Amino acid sequence: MSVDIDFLRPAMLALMPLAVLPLIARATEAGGYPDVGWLPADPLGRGIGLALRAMAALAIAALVIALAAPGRPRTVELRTGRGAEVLLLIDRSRSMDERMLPNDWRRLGPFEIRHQTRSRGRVKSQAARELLGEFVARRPDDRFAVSFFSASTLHVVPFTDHDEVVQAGIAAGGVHRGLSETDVGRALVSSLARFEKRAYTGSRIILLVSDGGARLDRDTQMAIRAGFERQRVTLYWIYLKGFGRPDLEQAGEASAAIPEVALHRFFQTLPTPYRAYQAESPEDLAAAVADVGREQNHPLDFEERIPRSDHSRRFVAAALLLVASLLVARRWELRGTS
Amino acid sequence: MIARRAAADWRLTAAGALLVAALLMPPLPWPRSNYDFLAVFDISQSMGVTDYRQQGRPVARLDYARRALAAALTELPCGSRLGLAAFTGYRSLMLLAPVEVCEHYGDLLATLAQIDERMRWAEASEITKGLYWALRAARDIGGEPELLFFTDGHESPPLDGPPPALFGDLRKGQIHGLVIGTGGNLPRPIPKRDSAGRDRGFWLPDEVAQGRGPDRRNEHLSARREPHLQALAFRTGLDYLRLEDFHGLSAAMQAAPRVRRREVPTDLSWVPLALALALLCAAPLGALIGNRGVRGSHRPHP
Repeated sequence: MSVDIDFLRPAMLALMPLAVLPLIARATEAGGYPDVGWLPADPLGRGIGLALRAMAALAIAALVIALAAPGRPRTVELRTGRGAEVLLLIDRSRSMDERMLPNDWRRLGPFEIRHQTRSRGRVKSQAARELLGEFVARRPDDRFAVSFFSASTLHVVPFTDHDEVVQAGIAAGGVHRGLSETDVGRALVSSLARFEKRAYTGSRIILLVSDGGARLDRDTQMAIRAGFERQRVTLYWIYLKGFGRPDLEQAGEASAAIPEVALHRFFQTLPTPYRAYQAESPEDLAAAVADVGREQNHPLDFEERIPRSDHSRRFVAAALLLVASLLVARRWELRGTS
Repeated sequence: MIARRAAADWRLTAAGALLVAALLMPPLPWPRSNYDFLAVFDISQSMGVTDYRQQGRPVARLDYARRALAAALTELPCGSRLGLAAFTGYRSLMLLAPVEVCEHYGDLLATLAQIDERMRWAEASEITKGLYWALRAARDIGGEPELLFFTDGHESPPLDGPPPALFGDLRKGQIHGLVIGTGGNLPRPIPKRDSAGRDRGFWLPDEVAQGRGPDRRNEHLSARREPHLQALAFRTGLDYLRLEDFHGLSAAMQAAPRVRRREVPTDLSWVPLALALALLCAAPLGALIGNRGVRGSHRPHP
């Protein structure tokens, strides 16, 4: 650890010569002292006078330093914490603007569900953004990146530990409706590349949040598989299952033609860990996000930013102490001489 | 004598009280000048034309615009905020909600570096609509930031007839800011890039949508379309700026009407500290001056 000191207002140090004032103003009022020259030689009195002048000088010096605002500059320290590097890969297609089931959907009749979902279900993307925002806020040790995808992949926030920026990236996803197409295969390939050339520091996660699947061609499949293997990334898919949309666990050969099921089955063949969460309502979504939060708590080397620490208060306190001592000494001296 | 001692005591006591106040006082809300911006970058193909030069090297319009903004950011007072968006196809897409520029300068540069052709989600370049969408974004992101819309004005497909009317939910002058005309005066060929960013030569006359009139057959070439952009700026109530150098952008961004006064928690403890310092210095300083003359004659010297 360094012992660097910097000043926020270094120019104030130019006032330092003021500190010699009490020392050179020997006459009547150095620190408020009467000239004692007319008294018989009094070495003790002189000594005390000098000490008091020195205290006044020190008080002024301390104040000048405090005004210059000394402190330890902002530093970065390498720490090991528990956390992960999480890339949030969020679908920004138009279907994400549709609504989820209301939380009380289990109490609704089969005919009410569709109507109630349309009228008061939460919008998928909005529910997802809110929960991801909370997720980020609750995990200060993780480092996050935010990417959106539609026809292209928008890597909006590269990995950072500045939560405010991550939140700003998530929030931006909520401005206006989504884009028309989605290409989840391309998004995964380019997201995996985001881990390239980064030191492997612990655990890496892609948290895919989308409401649709895709049947990927062989080349894309190979590229994705190779990427997961090389970058050692765990995949979580939070599948925002719309009302009447296919279930990922649908059995049977025929269901392989359903894009969502096909994508799920492909993910299951990945060499790295994979988990899918089907979320139909905001409640499910919250449970899935909490689940991911519980699972990933591996040691992670991270750089912690230590904010600048200001030392000016110490100098103010020192100056206060000196001033108080001067006051006390003057009372005592007054009694002594009168 | 006694009066002088009393005055000195009073000064010391007051200085002590001021120091106590300096130690105890919390940061107080204090109005400061800063700025709010939403920068929107045209990422359509014509922004790849390299008609800027820096240190003798050709620089693409988009790169120059991003560098100019990065340079201007360093000159904004802390507490200012910047959000980022991109435009292609027919709309602007919000990428990053506004964040503070000093604390997050590194992150803003990192996001800025991502805004290029790899993001392009559509190939058209309907700038008028893109600007309207950008106005919507500035209106809806909160805080109504000033808009900075970087574009060369090259509409593709070309506008035949009047440009689309301002969206019904927008009012002229509701959002302030700048349309920033990017690019050179001379029409130049547009580099063709694939989605991976690889060069594929230049667009040929028969590969792009051409206008209907015989004088509108040069859509494969691109220059800064200033009259169009000036008309757009007028129609939306924005100001127009031609992007010629970094300083020009920075100066236009900090023009007086764009200043926001915002109360920021500010450490004002320097005020009591400075007063205490003045009180402590008053006595010896007075004595010094007194010794020299004026007050010297009145000194009650026995």
